[in-house]
This record gives sequence, C-alpha cells and structure tokens, in this order.
Amino acid sequence: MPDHFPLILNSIAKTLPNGRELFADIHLSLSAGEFISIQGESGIGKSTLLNLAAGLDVPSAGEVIVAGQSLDGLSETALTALRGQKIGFVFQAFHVLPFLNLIQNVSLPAILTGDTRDLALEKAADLLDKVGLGDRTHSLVSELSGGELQRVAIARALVHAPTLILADEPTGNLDPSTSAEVMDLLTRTVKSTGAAMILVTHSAIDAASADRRLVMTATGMRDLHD
Amino acid sequence: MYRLVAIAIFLAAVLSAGAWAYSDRPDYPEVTSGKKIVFPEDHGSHDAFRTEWWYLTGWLETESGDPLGFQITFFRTRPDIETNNPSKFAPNQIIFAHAALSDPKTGKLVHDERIGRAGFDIIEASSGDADVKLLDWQLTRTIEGVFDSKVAGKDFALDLQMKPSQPPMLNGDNGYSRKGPKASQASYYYSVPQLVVSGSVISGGRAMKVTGRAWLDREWSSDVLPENAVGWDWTGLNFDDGSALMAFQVRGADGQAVYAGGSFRDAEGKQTVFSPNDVRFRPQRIWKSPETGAAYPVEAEFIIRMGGQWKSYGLKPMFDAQELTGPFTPTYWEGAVTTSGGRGYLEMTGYAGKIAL
Amino acid sequence: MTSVRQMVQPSPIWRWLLLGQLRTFPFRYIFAVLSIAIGIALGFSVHLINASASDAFGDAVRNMSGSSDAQVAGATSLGFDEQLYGQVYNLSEVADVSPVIEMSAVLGESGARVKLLGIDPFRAATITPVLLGRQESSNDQSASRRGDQAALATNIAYLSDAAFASSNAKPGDLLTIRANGQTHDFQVAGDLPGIEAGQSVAVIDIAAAQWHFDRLGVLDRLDIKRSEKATQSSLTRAMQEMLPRDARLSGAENEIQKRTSLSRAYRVNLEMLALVALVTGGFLVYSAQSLSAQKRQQQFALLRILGLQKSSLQHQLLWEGLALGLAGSILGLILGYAFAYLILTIIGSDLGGGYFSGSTGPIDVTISALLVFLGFGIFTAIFGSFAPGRRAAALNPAQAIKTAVDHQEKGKQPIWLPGVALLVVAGGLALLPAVDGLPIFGYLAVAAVLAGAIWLTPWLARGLLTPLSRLSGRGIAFDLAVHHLLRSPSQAAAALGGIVASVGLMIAMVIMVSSFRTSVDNWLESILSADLYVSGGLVETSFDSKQQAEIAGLPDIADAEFSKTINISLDPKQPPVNLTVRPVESSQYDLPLIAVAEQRTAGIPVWISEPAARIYDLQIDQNISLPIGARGTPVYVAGIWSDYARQQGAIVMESEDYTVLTGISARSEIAISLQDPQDISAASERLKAQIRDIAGTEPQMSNAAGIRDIALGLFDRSFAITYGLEAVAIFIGMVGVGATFAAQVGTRVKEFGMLRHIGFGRREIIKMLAYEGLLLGIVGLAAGLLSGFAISQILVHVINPQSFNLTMKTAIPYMLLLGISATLLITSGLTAIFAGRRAAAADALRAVNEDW
Repeated sequence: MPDHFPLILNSIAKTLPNGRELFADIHLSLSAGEFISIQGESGIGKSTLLNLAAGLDVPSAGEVIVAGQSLDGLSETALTALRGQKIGFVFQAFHVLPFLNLIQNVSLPAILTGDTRDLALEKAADLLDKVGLGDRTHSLVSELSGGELQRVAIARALVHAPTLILADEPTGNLDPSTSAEVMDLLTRTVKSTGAAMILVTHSAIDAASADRRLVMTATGMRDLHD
Repeated sequence: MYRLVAIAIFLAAVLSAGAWAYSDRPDYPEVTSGKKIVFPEDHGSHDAFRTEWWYLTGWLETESGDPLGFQITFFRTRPDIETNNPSKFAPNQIIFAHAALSDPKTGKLVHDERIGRAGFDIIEASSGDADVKLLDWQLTRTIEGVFDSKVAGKDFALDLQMKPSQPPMLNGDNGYSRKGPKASQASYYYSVPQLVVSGSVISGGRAMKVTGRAWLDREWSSDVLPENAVGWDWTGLNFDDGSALMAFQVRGADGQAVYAGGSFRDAEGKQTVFSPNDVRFRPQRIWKSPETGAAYPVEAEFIIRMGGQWKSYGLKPMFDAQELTGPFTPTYWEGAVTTSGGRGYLEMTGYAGKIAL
Repeated sequence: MTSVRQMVQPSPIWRWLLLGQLRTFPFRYIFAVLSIAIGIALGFSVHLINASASDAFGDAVRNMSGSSDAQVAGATSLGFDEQLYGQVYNLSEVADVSPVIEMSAVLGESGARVKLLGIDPFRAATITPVLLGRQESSNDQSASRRGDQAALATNIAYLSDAAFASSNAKPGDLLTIRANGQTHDFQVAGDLPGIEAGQSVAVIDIAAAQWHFDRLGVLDRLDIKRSEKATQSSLTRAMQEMLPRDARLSGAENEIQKRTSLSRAYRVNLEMLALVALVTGGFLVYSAQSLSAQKRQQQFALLRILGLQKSSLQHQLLWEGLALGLAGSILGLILGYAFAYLILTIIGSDLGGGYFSGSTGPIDVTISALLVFLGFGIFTAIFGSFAPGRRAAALNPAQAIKTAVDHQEKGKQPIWLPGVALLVVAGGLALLPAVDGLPIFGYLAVAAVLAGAIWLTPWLARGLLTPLSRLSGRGIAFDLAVHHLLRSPSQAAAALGGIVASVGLMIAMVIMVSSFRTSVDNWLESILSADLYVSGGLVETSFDSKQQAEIAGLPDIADAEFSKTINISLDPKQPPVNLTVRPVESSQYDLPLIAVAEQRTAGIPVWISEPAARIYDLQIDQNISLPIGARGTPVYVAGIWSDYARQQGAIVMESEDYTVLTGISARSEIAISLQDPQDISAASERLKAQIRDIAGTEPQMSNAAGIRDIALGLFDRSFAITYGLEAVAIFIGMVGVGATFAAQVGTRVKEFGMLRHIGFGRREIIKMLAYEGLLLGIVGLAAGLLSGFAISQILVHVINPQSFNLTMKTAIPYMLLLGISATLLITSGLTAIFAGRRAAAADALRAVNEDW
C-alpha cells in the first residue's frame, strides 16, 4: 500500500487490564499532511489512542497501519524502528534531556534512525533555526523557558522528516500567550514539512487550528460538529 | 709470633695429611722456553698448570670526569692433592677472584672476593678462549675480541667491556718469562696493554657510566718463585702516546732483587725485552698500613735501561690506602698510580709476610 | 512493504549519555566506582598481607635457627642427582646454593652414632656457616685459605662436642668412620663450634663423602639462600616446577612453626573475609545502580519512544557496568597494594604479634592474583549494574515516561519462594564433601545462605514490621516510617543488602573465632598437661630402660612418662603419619578424646587423631595394619582424639604394646611432672644436667605453660587483625546504607515537600527518617544475626573440618554479639538522621514543582 495514508486506525478497540473498556471500534484515517485535533475529557482514552498509533501499545481488537505498514504481528524491534523512522513526538512535559545541549537533543531522532552524527547535527541546526532558536544551539536546558523548551521539542519532532507527528497536550504546561505562540509555530512548521499531525488537547483554542476537529467520548469518536 | 706457630702447625697438618693422601698427586708441567703462544687458545685456561690468572687493572673516568681505579682478577689453582677422586665435587681446580675499586674521593678501596671449586658449570675456567665463571662473577672474551667482565661485590659492582687496541705483548722470551735463576722458575706470560674500556660502575649506591684504559696480565705457571723470594714489585703502565711498559723485580728478604725483568713496547709496536740487570726498583716514600702494619713504598720509581740509556719512571699513587686483605687472599698492595705521561697500576707483594701462592 | 531499518548502534548517543550522566550526576558514579574499589582493595590487600606474612614468618623462623631459606631434600635416603645443584643455582630466585651429603654413620670402635655431613666449605660458608669446622689451635674459623691445602684434602673430619664425647676421639687422631656400608679413615682436624651442644655431628668434605661412602653422583640436600628480589612464594613456585620426583622442597622445620599451623587456618578465613568485602561492595553497587536506573527510567523511556532499541539500551548499560568495573577494579588494586604496603610497614609482617621485626620483603604480586581480583570486580560491577538497568530498560516506555519515580509495589506480596529455595540448596550444599581438600561446596553454601537471607529480607521486614504497624500511639512519624517501609519492601531491600551481607558474615566470623579459640584453649590444656617436655634435636636422643628408670627416679621429678615418635606411612600418596608410642592406660595425661570405642576388643588398640581419621577415613573399632615389624601389625581403632597441630595425622599406641611388638624399649621423649611445679626454671636446669649425665646427651627442654601462652597469644594477635578488618567491612556496609538512604531520601523530596506543605515540621520529618533508619537497622540486624549464625555453623562444622580436618564446638560469645547489635542499631539510626537532615532542607519545597 502506498505511503499515502500516514495513519489508519481500523476498527481498533482497547480494553484495560483491569477490565474497563476504553473504546470499541474506532476508525480513523489520516491523509498525508492532514492536521486533526482530538478533544475530550480527562481519562477518556486520548493518550491511549496516541500510544496505539505509535505502536507503544497493542489494541485489543482491530489493526493499526502506519505509513502503509500494519503494526499487527510486528516484533518489538520492528515496531521501534518503524516508530523511530516515521513518527515524531511532542509531549506535554517537554521531555528534553537535561544533560545534553539543544542541538544534541534535537538531533536524537536523526541519529537513532541512522544518520551520522555530523549530518544529524546539521539537520538539527537547521530546525532550531526554523523554530527561532538558531543562535542558542549550544545552550543548556536549564537556561530555557517552558515555551522555548517546547520549541526545541518541536524541532526534535521534525528533524528526521517523519510522516506523522503525535502531539499530546503540547501547551498543557504553558501559559496562554506562550501557548498561542507555540501552537502557531507547531502548526506552521509541521505544515511546511508536509507531515500529518494528530493533536490531543483540552483547549478548544488549540484545537481550532486543525483541519479536522474530532472529539472522543465514552461512546467513541466523532467529528466535533456532529 | 703466634702466627708463625700457627703456620708451623698448619704445615705439620699439611704434611701429615699429605702422608695420608698417598695416592696420585698432580703432575704439574714444567714451563719451558720455545712454546708458541697462540690466540685465542692461550687466552683460555691451562688446567694442568698449578697457578694461572687473568689480571685486569685500569683507570676509569666517570661522565663528570672523576677518576677511579679498578682491579678485577680471576685466579685458577690446581691444588696439590690426590687426583683420583672421581667425585665431581673433588677440588681439582679452585677458582678464586677478587675485585677492587679505588675512589680518590673517599680515599678508600672497596673490594670483595669469591671462591669455589670448579664444577657443575657454575664455576669454571674454560680452555679455548678467555671464559671464567665464578658464580655470579665472570670474565669472557666476546666474538669481537672484547674482554667483558661483570662482578658485583658488597658495596660496588663493575660491568666493563675492554676492547684491545693493540695486539697482545709477549713478555720475556716470546712468553717464556723467567722469575728466578733456575730455568723452571718461570711462567708463561703475556700482557694486553692499552685496552679501551667502556661500561658502568655502581658505587656508593650510584650507577655511573665510565670510560678508561686498562691492562690485562695473563700468566700461568707451575713452580714460579725461587725459595728465597718473599715477594715482588710489578707495574703495568699505559702511556698517553700509546706505548706500554711492564716492569717487575722479585725481592728477597733483604729487600734486594733476586730477579727482575720487563718489556717496553712503543706506539708503533716495537718491543724491547729487559734482562734482569736492566731493571731497578727504588722506593721513595713509605706508607704504613694501619690495618696490617705492613710498610709499602707507595711512591717509588722503576729505573730502566733501554738502548743504553737509563730512564726513570716515577710512580705516584692515586691515594695511599690501596692495600688488599681478605679471608682467602694474601695481604698486598695493589693500587692505581700515575707517572709522567701515563698511568697504570703498581703491585707490591710480600710486605706483610712471605707471599704464598 | 516498507523495509524495517536495520538496528543501528547509536554510538554518539551512548557517549553523550554517559558523559552527560557523569557531568550532571558525577557523585553517583564516583560512589559506584568507589564501592567496587573498596571491596577489591580490601580483598587484594588481605591476600597480599597473607602471602607476605607467611613469607616473613618463615624467614624469621629460619633466621632464628640460622639455617637456609629453603632446602631441597631427597625423598628417600638414596638422595637425588647431583646435577640438580647447578640447575638450582641458575634459577633467578636463588642467590646461592650449598650441596650437602647427609648420612647416619658410626665412629670408630666406640660405635658412637653420628650424623655425617659432607659439605663444600666454600659454599657452606655463605649459607650455613654453622657447619664449618674449626682447625684445632687456630681461631680462624673459615674453613680454608687459598693457601691452606689441608682443608682441601679429602681425608679430614671435624667433630661436634657431642661427637667427641661419645667417640672419645681427640683432634689429630685417626678415626674410622663407617657409613653406607663403607669404611674409611679420617684425620680429626678440629671441632664444629656452630653446632648446638648435644648434637652428634661429623663434617667431612663432600668429595670425600661421595667417593669413600659410595655416594658418587648423588646429593642428599641443597641448602638454598633466596635472592633479595624474590619472595619465599616465588622461590617455592620456581623450584616446584623443576624438581625431579626424588627431591622435595621444604622450608626450615621448626617446633614453633609446627605449633602454629593454627595460623594457616586463620589466614584462609581472612581470605574469606576479603570476599565479604567484595560481596558488600557488589551490593552497594547494586543499590546505587538501582536508584540510578530508577531515576533514568524516564530518559530511557523517551529514547525508546524516539526509536532506540531495547537491546541497544541494554548493551549500553552493560558497557557502562564494564567501564565501572574496570575503573573500580584498577583503583581497587592500586588501593589494595597501598593498603597492604602500609599495614606491612607500620604493623609489620607479624601483624602486631611482636615476634619479629625487620625489613619486610618485597610484596609478592602474581599476575594470576591480579587477574582474579580484576575479574571479580568487573563481574560484580556488571552484575550490580546490569540487573537494575535491564529492568529499567524493559519497562513499557509509554507508562514509564509518564509516572515519576515512586513505583509503589502496591502492597504486593514479596515472593519468598526463591529465597527459601536458596536456603534449602545451602543446606544441601553443606552436606557435600570436600573437593580435593578444598571446601568448595561449603563456600557455595555460605553464598547461598547469604543470597537467600538477602532475598528473604523484605519478607522478614514485612513479618517484623506488620505487627509494629498495628501498634498505635507512637506518633505520626513512627507510623509513617513503618508504613513507608512496608509499602516498598524492595527499596528497603536495596538498602539492606549491603548491611545484611557484612553483618551476617561478621557475626559468622565472630562466632567461629570464639568457637575456635575455646576449642584450641581446651585442647592446649589437655595436650600440654605436663610441666616439662624433653625432646631430641638434630639427632635423636635415646634413653634405654635403665636410663629411663634412673631419670624417673630423679628427685625433682614426680612423674616421668617416656615416649617416642616415628614417622610411618599408611598410604604412599600421603605424607607420613606420626606414630607416638607412650603410656596411655596408665598415663596421667589424658588424650583429648572425642570418640571412644564402647568396649575393649581383643587385639592391639590404637588411638588416632581426628585429622588421621578424616584423611584415611577410619572409624572406631575399625581394623587397620601398621607397618611395624616384618609383616605389619594389625590394630584396631580404640578412640579418636582432637589434634590442632599435626595436619597430616597422628596415631598413639600403648608403649608396652610397642615394646612387645618390636623389642625396642628405648624411648626419646619425656613428659615430666615436677615435684614442685613452681620451681620450673631451677628444676629444668638441674634436670638438664642430670639427664645429660645419665644419658650422655644434653636434652632439649620445653616449658608447657610457656608454650600455651605463646600459642594463645599468637592466636589472639592474629585475630586482632581479623576483627579490625571486620570492623572496616561493617563500616563500609554502614556507609553504603547511609549513602543509599541519602539517595533514596533524595528521590522522596517531593513527598517531603508535600508533608511540609501539610504542616509536617522539619523535626518531624527527621524523626520519621530516624525511625526508618532504626527499623531498617532492626531488620538488617535480625537478618544478619540469623544468617550469621547459619553461616557460622557452616564455617565451624563444614569448612574448617574439610579444610583442616579439625572439628570444634560452637561457642557463642553472647556479650560480644550484644555489643555489636547495639552499635549497629545506634549507627543506623544516626545515619538515617544525618541523611535526613540534608534532605529535609528548604529545597523540599521547590521540589514539588520539579518534574525531572
């Protein structure tokens, strides 16, 4: 199957180990470069959905297809490799490694997918430029504000030219004005690379910039304006 | 006084012991004239003869220019005891060695010695070339003809390589060197003067690289000294111009010469052998040893007649106290001396009781 | 299909990670490296001190007796090839060798028996000058001058004073000497001033000995002087490689040395102690790395989400462990060498025993020892860091990245089955026999007990703490402390591991040493019950029946028992056994029996020592054959007695039986009870003279009380160092606990902040931590005591018997254990307080907002 669909969730269901059913029979297909947002209450299963999409969790039923490759039956090694190559992540808690400098942090996904150190650092420098931190390549994490750290995370998510970005509450730890800046930067930069993105968020404001807005409830997932 | 009594009783013991050791006694060959001395064979041991030595003396200089005198001697004795003992421990040959280092800075001589029965490859004097081993002491002659010696004493150690710069000098009549009026009172005797020395010396805990000049005396004999001799005076001198002088007198109890001789070889290699009348030894300054009471003429001159002319070679010691004593060695004086235009060693024996070989 | 990218080795990442970690949290790694280093240092230094002590001890003994550093002796009276003399000289570890012929001989018509030695005076002069002869009427003791041909004559002999006396010869006489079936006349030239009074010795030239007594081509002995750069062990090694079958190496045998084979046991146990230190170090590393891995689990999770393979991560952790192990081991080897050097220089090789001082020899470091300890260190480091790292790396990344460090166990029951299984296995291992004389299974059993104890510690903690948690009214701090420990028992285990190991082993050692000493003390009392002992020296003394009666009748003597000891061989592959012939039934000195036959059987009874029973697998009532008499003699085992001195085994036979069997009534040793035991020194002087008059040789006398004091004193001093090192091990354990505690407390900073927020005062937090420390200490102590006791039993009943063929009774030093327990509890409480003070500081508030 061609790369055309970065992500297809095909009738996936997830029941937790303690027996509680999170969701049953969810369909979702993402086109190349498409930006969708998913809103919903806390604990409804939004993050779990992202984990399934990333291959970090296994659905109780259904099939996950990433960039044309079904995750069903893939080994741990294959999953890790696929995830590393095709997907980029932006977390609520930034998760930037404190003992590496900015350019090293950003270059991580590129190195993990096989680039030489020098090539990866080049790409990283490029992306730091794009997110406006080009002059701070060798700064340390402790020197940056929350918003700046999230910008680093964005750069990192894109350094290896993934087909899919998964963003889980990226503005959750930021104040409103920084949030708006970061959301704007995220949307622009992702669009400019042609990657698709799934944004999970509480904030309606953040969700508004998406191409398609979804909401997740106890009964399943539907378009917001249904 | 007591010593004489002791010696007398020793001799009595020897004689009565000798009476019991009735079986075969060694047959010591006589030293005769006309024997051709060939090398390298004659650098090696001549086991049948009673006494033999490899006697090295010389002057050394450290890297900082300080002078040292050294002496390394290996003796081989074939004792006069029965020869039919098949045991490999039988003392058919005794190897004895002593070494000394004279340091003018301390004004003292340090020395040490080793002795043992030849056997089991750890104590040997081999024939065929110079190759003497006495436990951890050795003197060998390498393939390139360098005399290599390593000795380690209680307070010092010598590791010297001595390269001949001139061919061996045959003393006496082509090596047949008389020491007394009888024809048999002689030894085979050659010297190798002007040896170029390099190596290292450990003394006072310090290791030093040294260079210098040395003299090798080689003698073997069976019956060498006349009965009325108490000792001898000998010198071996390396001159700066490349010539070399060996001179000796055999001395009687009255201090007069019983016999004398020597050789002079000029830088070109022309050798003059002296007859007994050509050599005189004149003491000049006496030094009395505080340890043994013997009185040595540490400053003396050899007066030699060469080409009809009498020449005087005055000898001055590096320092006075260069007397050698030890449990296995007779007491004598062996020291580094200088003369005008050269330097070497002076050996004076028999001043502390008659010398016993 | 999209191809799966091949697994790449992200080496720049590994380097960044390691360097980043080192830069940000250097102390964690330094601590881990130090843990390994200290363990290795202790072990290595103990090993070096052991080797040096045994060398120096031997040297001192030899110096005292004026003999050579080592001897090569013929295995039989036929001697060995004389060429060995030259070969031995050429070894670099040998400075000098003296060849000796040694035979029994008879002098002249008197038939006086002498030991005949043939020596080369030149060689003996430097190594064994006591053997040199002195010419009559000369004070010059050197055997020969260059010009003195007399000494070279192979027909003279020197006699010792005793030989002169017994042969009635005079210097200058012609003496007939008969040996090895040959006869030859020698002229007596002088005496042997270096030979002790009472020893009948004749010295002749070695060439004469070989020639005249048909010993051509052989030697009986080589007296060896060791070169300065070699140690006794390196000399022994070099010699053993080249000796032929008919020659054996021995150090100077000496009575003092015989009585101190105790020290061998002590030394082996010291080595065990060294392993203790290493194990403790390993646990420290384990706990440090556990914590470290816990902290890093979010980082690991992130990297794995970003594409790092789990196996790559695990490989990296392995390499980290290897690097840690290498750094720690090398540092430890250097520290260990320095420590050993320091101890040896300051305290001396006698380890404070005061028996000898003087220059310590070079410390003997063998490549194999270095490699073994290096291997231990690396293995420990890898084991300590790999396991926790592996666990952390294997967590599900999605979960691990979210949750913070406090992984509560949710009250899960700790699995106790593997722990119990380990203890059962330990029990089984303890029952297995020794392998080639080494109690390998015993040591494994100790390890299994330790492992099992440590495994079960959380369960034990649970068991001890649950009833405590039901205690009310102790205050909030106490409750919190108990509950915290209850809910995370494996955190507790990490802290306790080190302390259980070191406390357990220390308690085991304490019990073992106490048991050992009590047993030795009792044994010495029974074995040295006479006032004076008379024995032979270089040549056997001999008292015939008439002389025995005369001696027994001497006024000073209340009771004299005569005995004789000979060597007999029960098995050609084993060293010969001592057979002591002495009064048994009628004796007033009982054998320290540990087993007796129920009733008297017909036949000749013998009593065998415990080592003999174990080596030759003999029991009560068993019949054996002794090589006495032409065709051997059947005897039966009537009893087994304990013997701490003769490792090779000993047998006692009734004196009368022996006389009847062999017809030999002469005896050579006497055990004397004095009429007036207070007057020992005067009495022994008188007796020496009187016995000399009666028997013709002057006896050697030993004072029983003196021997006992020396032996026990040596024992105590030896173990003084053991105690010192044990204390160090405990200290390490405590430091480890403290550090682990401090680190753990560091991760609970959020919790403290929260407590502070809800009104928990700083003092309250410190109190809580003190309680935690105390409770941990109680658990650790309990586990340590239990495992320590179990291990001590293995030491006492399995390891020591298998190593040295001796048993001892358990004697528990209760007061000492009480003292140790109190110290431990106080220390653990104090450590916790100290660690807590630092953590409950102002930073606690800040921590609540921190995520990383």
